[in-house]
Amino acid sequence: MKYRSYEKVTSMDALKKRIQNDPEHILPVAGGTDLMVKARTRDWYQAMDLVDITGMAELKTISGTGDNLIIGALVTADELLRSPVIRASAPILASACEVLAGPQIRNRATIGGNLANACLAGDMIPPLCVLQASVHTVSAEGEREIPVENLLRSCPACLNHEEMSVGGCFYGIPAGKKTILAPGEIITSVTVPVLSEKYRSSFQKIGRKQVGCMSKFTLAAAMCVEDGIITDLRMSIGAAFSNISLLTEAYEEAVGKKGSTELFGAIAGQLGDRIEAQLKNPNESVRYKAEVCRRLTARTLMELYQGECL
Amino acid sequence: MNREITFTLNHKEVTVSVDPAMRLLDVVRDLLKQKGTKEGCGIGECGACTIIMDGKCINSCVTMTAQAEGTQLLTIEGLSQDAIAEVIKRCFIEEGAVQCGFCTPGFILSAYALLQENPNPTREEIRTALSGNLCRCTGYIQIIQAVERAAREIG
Repeated sequence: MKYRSYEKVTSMDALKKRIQNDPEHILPVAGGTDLMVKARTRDWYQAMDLVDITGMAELKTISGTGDNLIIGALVTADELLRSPVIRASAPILASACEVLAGPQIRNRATIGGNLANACLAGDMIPPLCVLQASVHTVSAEGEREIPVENLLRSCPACLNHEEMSVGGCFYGIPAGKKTILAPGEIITSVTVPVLSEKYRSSFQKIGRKQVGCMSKFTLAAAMCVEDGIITDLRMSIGAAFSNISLLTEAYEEAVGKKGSTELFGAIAGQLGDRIEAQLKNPNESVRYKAEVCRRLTARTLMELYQGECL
Repeated sequence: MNREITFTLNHKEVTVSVDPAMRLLDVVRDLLKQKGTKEGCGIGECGACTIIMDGKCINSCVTMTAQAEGTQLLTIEGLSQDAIAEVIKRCFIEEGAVQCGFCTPGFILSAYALLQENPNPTREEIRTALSGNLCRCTGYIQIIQAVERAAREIG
């Protein structure tokens, strides 16, 4: 792997100091499980200064302040899926972490890395959109809060490479290309509002295997039903659109109505059509994802409505 | 660009002078000659390069050597005198869970890490713990049976 320099930063003060100096060339290193795969395909990092933040203990904690959970950027997928707090207050995120890659990767891959890498097949991103989470960042310009649903930039190129695999990614350095993060801007924590007990939620993943693979299609959804009427529906789909965001049309279609096969079929059908409409000549992969969307989304929404989910 | 990196490998402290972003796999296998650690896919999917770092399995093909600084590493060679690992290895042989053997060190390390943490796993927990290891010739039934049997014998 070619790069310009490597250094470890072990405290927030040291990080804030470091990012004042030549932020354009900073490449933060966390678990490295995506970065090391990308480094195999091209010399993306030849001009970059690798800043390894894995020694920053302050980014490894999960804490709660009443209505919000604050998850340090270096908390791993394995730590999230085992955390009683996450399982109770953000079960949809724990579900996604359970099927994210294999155990070896889950022991290294971090929540901050999953977001900053901005792969459309990144399993944590749709649930964090549904949970209306936001990231806290530090950069040479200061600190800011960004809603996860606004973090990614649309990447139509992703639709054209097999399974959106990390190795085939066209952006070895996602900052500024696949995310709105500035070069050298580093995610330090993720704030997750606790999902009210009135909500039911579900995370669904389709890949070549049940676990241990890149996602071909992911669906995160949370629904609130009162007296048979849908009062909220938050949905986000990964690995099928050129971006990951909250799907507002599903909300507008469903809210105020009773659930039915027709309603959920219509929502799922429109989303499937939208997936196909992204390409003038949809390839087999995109047509497959559209069909999966039509069936899996309709089924999942019905399960949520009938209370068969978490 | 080299820097000195110190870690404990198979119960012995080791210091290497290497490129900090070099794959831990290359350091362990080529420099430190622990040949039980294999390269399969090289992208963190097959588990042939599994190493136990501070009690947890990782893919050494996607881990930078500098990130092993100060950690305790175990490869299959480090389990040669270990009573639990001996039972796992014998069960693998007796259940017919080894064919070409390329994936076997990774599977045994994953099974070892599981049984250290959870001595009485369910079949589902075994399947989950081994889900990051691929076998392309024996198949998984015998491997899962071997771990189940090892858990029974150790328990």
